[in-house]
Parts: sequence; C-alpha cells; structure tokens
Amino acid sequence: MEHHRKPAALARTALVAIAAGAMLTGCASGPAGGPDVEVESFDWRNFEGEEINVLMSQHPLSNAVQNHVEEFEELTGVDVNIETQSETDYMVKILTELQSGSGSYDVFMTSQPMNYQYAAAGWIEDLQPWVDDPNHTSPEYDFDDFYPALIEANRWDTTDFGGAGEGGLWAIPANEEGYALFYRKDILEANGIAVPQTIDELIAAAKQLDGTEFEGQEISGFVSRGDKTYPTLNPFSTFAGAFGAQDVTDGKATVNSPEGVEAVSKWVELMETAPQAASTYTWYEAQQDFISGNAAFYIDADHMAPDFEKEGSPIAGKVGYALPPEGPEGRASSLWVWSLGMNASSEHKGAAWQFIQWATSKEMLTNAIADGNMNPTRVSVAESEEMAAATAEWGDYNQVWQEILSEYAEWPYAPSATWPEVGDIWATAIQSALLGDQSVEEALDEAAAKIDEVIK
Amino acid sequence: MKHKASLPYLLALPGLAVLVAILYPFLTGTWWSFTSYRLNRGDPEFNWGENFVTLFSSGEGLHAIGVTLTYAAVVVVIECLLGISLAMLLNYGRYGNFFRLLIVLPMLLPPVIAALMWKVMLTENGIANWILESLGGQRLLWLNGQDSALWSVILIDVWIFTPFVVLLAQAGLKSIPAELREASAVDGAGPIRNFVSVTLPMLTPILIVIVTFRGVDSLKMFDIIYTTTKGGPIDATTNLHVMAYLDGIRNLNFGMAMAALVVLWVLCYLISHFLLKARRKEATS
Repeated sequence: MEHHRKPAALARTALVAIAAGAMLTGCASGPAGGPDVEVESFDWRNFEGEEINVLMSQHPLSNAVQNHVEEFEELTGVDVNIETQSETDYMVKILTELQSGSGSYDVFMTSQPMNYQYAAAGWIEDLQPWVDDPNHTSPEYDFDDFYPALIEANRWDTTDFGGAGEGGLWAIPANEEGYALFYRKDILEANGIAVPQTIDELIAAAKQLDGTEFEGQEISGFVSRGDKTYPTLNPFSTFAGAFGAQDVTDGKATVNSPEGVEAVSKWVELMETAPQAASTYTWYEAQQDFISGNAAFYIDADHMAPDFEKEGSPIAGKVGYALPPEGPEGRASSLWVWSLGMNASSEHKGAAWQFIQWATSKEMLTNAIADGNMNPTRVSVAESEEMAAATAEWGDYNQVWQEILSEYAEWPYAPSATWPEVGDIWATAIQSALLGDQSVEEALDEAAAKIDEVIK
Repeated sequence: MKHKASLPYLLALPGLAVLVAILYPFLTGTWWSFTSYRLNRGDPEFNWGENFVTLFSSGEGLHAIGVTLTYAAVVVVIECLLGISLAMLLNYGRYGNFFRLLIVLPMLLPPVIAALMWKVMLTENGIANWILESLGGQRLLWLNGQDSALWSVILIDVWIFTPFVVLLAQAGLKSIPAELREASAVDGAGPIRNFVSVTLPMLTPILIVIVTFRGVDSLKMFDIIYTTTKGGPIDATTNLHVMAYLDGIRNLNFGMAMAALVVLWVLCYLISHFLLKARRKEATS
C-alpha cells in the first residue's frame, strides 16, 4: 500500500500540472501541450518492441479487438496483451488499478460516467493533444468522421455538474447505443394498431395489448429496465427528454420539477403494463423477456437488434424499429458510448495512442461490424455498404439508429465525479414509484433532497 | 551465547510480519472510516466521526443495520433447528451415509453459482412459481418483491449453509456416549425428555461453535445478496456489507463504506466475544 501511494500522489501532482498546462494552451492544435513522447514524424513503427496491456469488459467490441489484434501487432511491432473480464469484475479491477497509479494497464474500455470519475481524479489522459499532434496521429485517422454527439459526450472540463461537451477529450468512441422503440410487427398488425408516434399513443397501445393472448401466449404491453441503478435511466431518458426533465440544473437537483414528475408518471404508467418483476429488470432480463415473445413494446439500446434477429430467436424477423416516442419537447434519447481511454500513468503512451487509433480507425470499425460491434461511431462506417449488408434483413434498423444518433441522441445529464451516485438515486426513486412504495412526487422530492446532499 | 539471545527474536519475526500484514490494512480502513475519503477526490481528511453520525441518523444506515441483524438472526435460528433435526435423522435413521452424501452437495457449490441458480428458479416464469401454480397456489414475486426479497435470500442461505450445521451437529451427536441415552431411557425418559435433558446439554459446546460461525458469516453476507438482488428492490435486502460495497466501489465514497464496515466489524466482534466467553464457561463447568 505504502509503496503504491507515493507514486500515486506524485502522478496526481504531475497530472494537475499537465492539466493546468493544457488549460493554459487551450485546445490549440499542434504539438504544443500534451504528448511528452518525442518522435520526429508519424510512423506506425515508432514504438516497435514496446509492450502494452489492455483491459476490456466482455462486449462485442472486445471480441472484435481480440479477433484482429494480430494485425495491429504486425503493423506496429508492438506487443499487446488484452485482458477481458465480466463487466462487474472489470469495473472493480480498473478502479483499483487506476487508483494505485501503477500504470499497469495502458489502455482500457470506458464510458461517460466512468470518464467523470476518472478525469476528476486525474487518472485518465486527455486525448485531445494526441489527436492534434501530427507526429503521433496518422494522417489517415480522419477525426472529424466521428459523430459530433459522441465526441461531445466524451468531453468534460471537470467542473462538477457543469462543463459538459467542453474541455478535455477523455476517450475515443468505439461503440454507440441510442434508445429506440422496438415493437412486434405481427402483434400490432393482428390488432390493427399503428406504430405509436407519441408517448400517449404508446401508453394507449400498450394498455390495449396488455394481458391479451397472441398465438396462445399471454403477452404484456411493454417491458423495459426497472432496476435501481443508473443504467435504468438510459431507456427512461427517452421520456425524460421528451418532457424536458433534467437531473441537475445550475447546481441544484431538478428531478422533482413539474417536467420530472410528469416524465416519471408517464413512465410508471407505461411500466405498469410490463410484468410485475420488471421493476427489478436490468437490460438483460428485459431483453430476455422481449426475445421470448412476452411483450409487445420495448424501449432499450438500439444495438440489441443482432440478439433479436439471430438464428433461433423466437422473434427474428418480427421486430419493428422505431424512433423513441414524442412528448411535449419532441423526441429524445440519451446515449451510451463505450470508448477507449488511456491511463495517465502509462509508461507507453505513444504505443497506447497508436493502439487506440488503430482500434477506432475506419478499417477496424468496419471489420468489427462482423463481430457484432454495433453501432459504428464513425459516419463513414455507419453509411458503409458493410453496415447496410449486415443489417439488410432487420427492417428499418439501419435507418432508424442513424436517425436517432444524428438527430436526437445526446448525453443529457450534468457531468460530475459523483454522477453515478446521482443517477442511482434517480433510478431508485423511479423504482420506488413503480412499486407503489411512494407517490411519484414523494419519491422524486426525496431523491432531489438526496441529490442535493451529494452535490454539497 | 549471542546466537542464542537473538534466536527468539528471529523466531518471532514471521509472527510479527503476519501481525503487521493484518493490522496495517485494518488500521488504514478504520482511519478512513473517520475521514471524508472519496477515492477520486484527493487524500483522506479527518471529519470527526461524521460518517458514523450519518450512518446512525439516516434512514438508510439504520435500515441496513436492521437488515443485517434480521438476516443473521433468522438464518441462524432456522439453520440450527433444521440442521440439528436433520443431523438426528441421519444419526439415528437408516441410510445415514447415503443422505449425508446428498446433503453436502449444496456446500460444494460456490455460493455465487448457487445463488444464480436460485435466481433463475425464482423468476416470474421459473420453476418455483410453476410448482406453486400447479399446487393451486398463487405466483410469488420472490426476489423481485419488496416484501419477499429478504425472505427469498434467506431461503437461499438456508439451502446452502444448513449442510454445514448438519455436519457439525452430527459430529457433536456422535460424541455423546450411547450409554448416557440408554441410561436415561432405562430411567424412563421418553424421546423428548431424552433430547432436552441429555442431547441438548451435551450438544451445547458444538452449538456455540455453530452459532458463532453462522452468526458471523451471515452478518457479513454479501455474495448471495449481491448476485441475486444487488440489495434491492429499493433497499429491501441492503445490509451493511452490500451498502459498503455500493458506497465504496460504485460511488467511490470510501469514508462511508469503511464506516459501515467498522460497524459491521463491531457487530461480529461482539457476537464472537460473548459466544466464546459462553463457550469457555461451558468448558470449565
């Protein structure tokens, strides 16, 4: 412990210095701040003979990287060790490793809430200076090809509950999910129901179908996540955004605003047409429920399509993909961006950046489609023939997810090192209202008070 | 001469090393429990026991302590009753060896696997509800219900750990000389009298061991709860250990997490202290 602490403290001080330096020079292009690894010009063989360690969570993205990593090793002469763990284990592992400041993992998978936790502590490298440095970044990298909403989601200036989309770039997007409305084409057709466009239409349709029989199976109107943790906010974000509800505004909790109450009330009304146990479902249980044909509607991550459509799925070919339903403020969706980040204590930053570049290059993201890494984070890959071919039999899928991402999706929450705690409190309030433990107002008032405690 | 004098110290070194290895993390944790330490927010700062005040004055803290105590008490009582009954059946009934083999099976599974297996069986369309329905009963929410979640987790604990009680209780029963029971039977004692006056007193030392082990283990229960409910729905199954995990690993609030763990440690310490004292008394009497 003691041995680890000192370097950690040193690294922290060093990082503050680097961060301060970066702030002074702003995000100006050119090799001014940032990379302290001197190279004369860009060359994939600049770091030949180095070895880097990569920590990933089990995910189509890590499958894709694993399947193609030899190509990177051949290209660069850098040795890559990839360690893949279950999501829970990987979260704990990356946390303890980063905290120790040991730099034992150079590159790791990360996402927005994790970026906030790590960036606030100075554990994670600002990648903007690397992107801007032509000596380190391949001329073919084409950074502007990434969807702007995804790059913005990975930016934060480390101001608590503010500064979203500004300041450092903490990771490079490698996988995207937005939130779509899935519906069963066959069930809607048999009941003469049109695809719902608004939240009220969706609730009415779900209520009409709930408890009816379809092909000998009793179905529920709707299903989605209800678990008391912040990932529940992902599908719920479609309602929050449609009513204009916010978690924190100007440093105060606003989950209990009139818009917040309205959004949760409507969500609860819809979730009441889901199986009772859905109040504890994570994405996995909700997805299983929908795949086994138990529900007519389902709101969740759009890139679940491969699971719905794969061979042997009872609902293959029967699923329709639609935009999230409209509310008073229009349509909305949050997004989740699995990205690749760099350990600020890494001793192989040059090689690590080359790995991140390679893994998020056009070529690699195109290859990754075959491994199920949906959805591509680059416009050119999204519009590629490969993507069209892979999704050809999935109805409107390819068109719908691109429309969600380019028109509606954004990270709607106020970034903070304590955001996961805030998110959990909000999700718990939704669960409490759904279980009928408290009224929607009571649950949200209590949540707002708790969130204000966290902000304090 | 000189060699002789240094030898005892040399021999004590490994012991000292072990002591440091145990005490250093323990004292660090205890120190953190008195600080506002957030893993991603600089170094720990002393905050005069504020974490403990929060723990004992907030609804969540008291609730978690309540869940911890309820869980441990219920689990220990059920497992002792069930375990001793089964041990007696095995000892005095037929096919004891066969059933003993069968009964140890749950213990051979890692608790996480066992818990996941139960989670699947207790889903809405799972086998438990199917059995209930075919017996004319109503479906239950089990782990997904706010009122039933704690009882469902307890059920899993009982399934996994009763065999442990059975094994120990059997050993205890075996150590009771047959002559004692025969003598009391000759004196006219029936089976119940026999149990109360002979078996139970002779079993007390081992019973204390069982209660100590199961008591401390179930106060600290984490794996079964976290794999099945993550402490939910809402906070229905959040005990101190699960709360500490959520505070520490999810929210990086190590100050609060350590405070919960220190309280948990005190509970465990108290329980083993009093039980071991009772055991010493038992041994000397």
